[in-house]
Amino acid sequence: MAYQQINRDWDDLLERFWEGETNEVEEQELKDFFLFGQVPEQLLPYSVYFRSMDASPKTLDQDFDQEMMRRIYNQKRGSFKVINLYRSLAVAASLAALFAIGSLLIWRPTPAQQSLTTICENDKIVNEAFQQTKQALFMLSNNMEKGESQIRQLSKFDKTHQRINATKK
Amino acid sequence: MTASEFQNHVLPLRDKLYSFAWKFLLNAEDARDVVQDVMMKIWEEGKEPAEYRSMEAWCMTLTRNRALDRIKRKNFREGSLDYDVLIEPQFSDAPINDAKEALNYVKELLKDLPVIQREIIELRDFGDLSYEEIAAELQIDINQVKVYLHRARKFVQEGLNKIMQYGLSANK
Repeated sequence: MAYQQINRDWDDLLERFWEGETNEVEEQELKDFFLFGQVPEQLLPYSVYFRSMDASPKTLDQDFDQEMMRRIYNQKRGSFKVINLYRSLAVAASLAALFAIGSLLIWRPTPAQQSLTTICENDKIVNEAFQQTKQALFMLSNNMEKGESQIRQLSKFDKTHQRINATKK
Repeated sequence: MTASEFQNHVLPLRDKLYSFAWKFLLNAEDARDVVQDVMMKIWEEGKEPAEYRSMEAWCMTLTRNRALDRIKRKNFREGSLDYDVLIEPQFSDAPINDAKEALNYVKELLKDLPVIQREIIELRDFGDLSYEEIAAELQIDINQVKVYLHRARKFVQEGLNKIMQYGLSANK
């Protein structure tokens, strides 16, 4: 055992312990020394501290493991349905989200669908243009009728004028 | 965490946790209950073992906190506001031969330490955690752990020196 080392400077090791400079191996040496070694009288008061570290029982009873495993299995069974329900909902929600995202990524409109879409989107503008065109054509038609009527009058005037000239001759 | 992981990673800590809990509670049944509570807490957390910075350090911290809570609740139920009722040491001028009495005496010393120093010295000297584990668990620098431990141990040393000079009754 470490505490049987004859040349070990326990005073120095102990001082380093109080300074917080010892490692785990050295601290175990000190515990062993104060628990099992021949502790000099001047160091006896410090043995209180090292014996206090060793004051507790070391092991739990053998039934503990079985009891713990039984408890966690019971706990598992109790929460299993809830966990499954949440898991099912989570899976369903994830699939729905994936389907929606996938649809958006995969679906591309054909040129015809795209032009139809464009027409639909510009429906209002198209309607307005159509109405304006219709109105313009209507005005043109009216003006042409007016022109035709005036040309007919001119034609009558011309015929009349030719008859007068023929009569004079 | 699966049942198998629980069996392999958590259950092996049982004796260490039990020993640590006992040092606070000085009662086998209470210490056993605390270890059970801590293990159930770990199970209910449902984390993977790899998710813990240090499973052992986390269990030790939980054990310490649960044990202290139990002492407070017990004192409250018994109508006492004195935190030290359960761990009141039986002082005498006779040499301390009993380890339990030694533990009581040391607890009496430690209770005057600042909280962080007390926690660190308990985790190190009574819970056998490494500097790294304590630093990870408390989320402080490892050098800070050493500084706090140094201060706490010097404080204990001074308390024990008084025994050397004046005997046990001087510290009461």
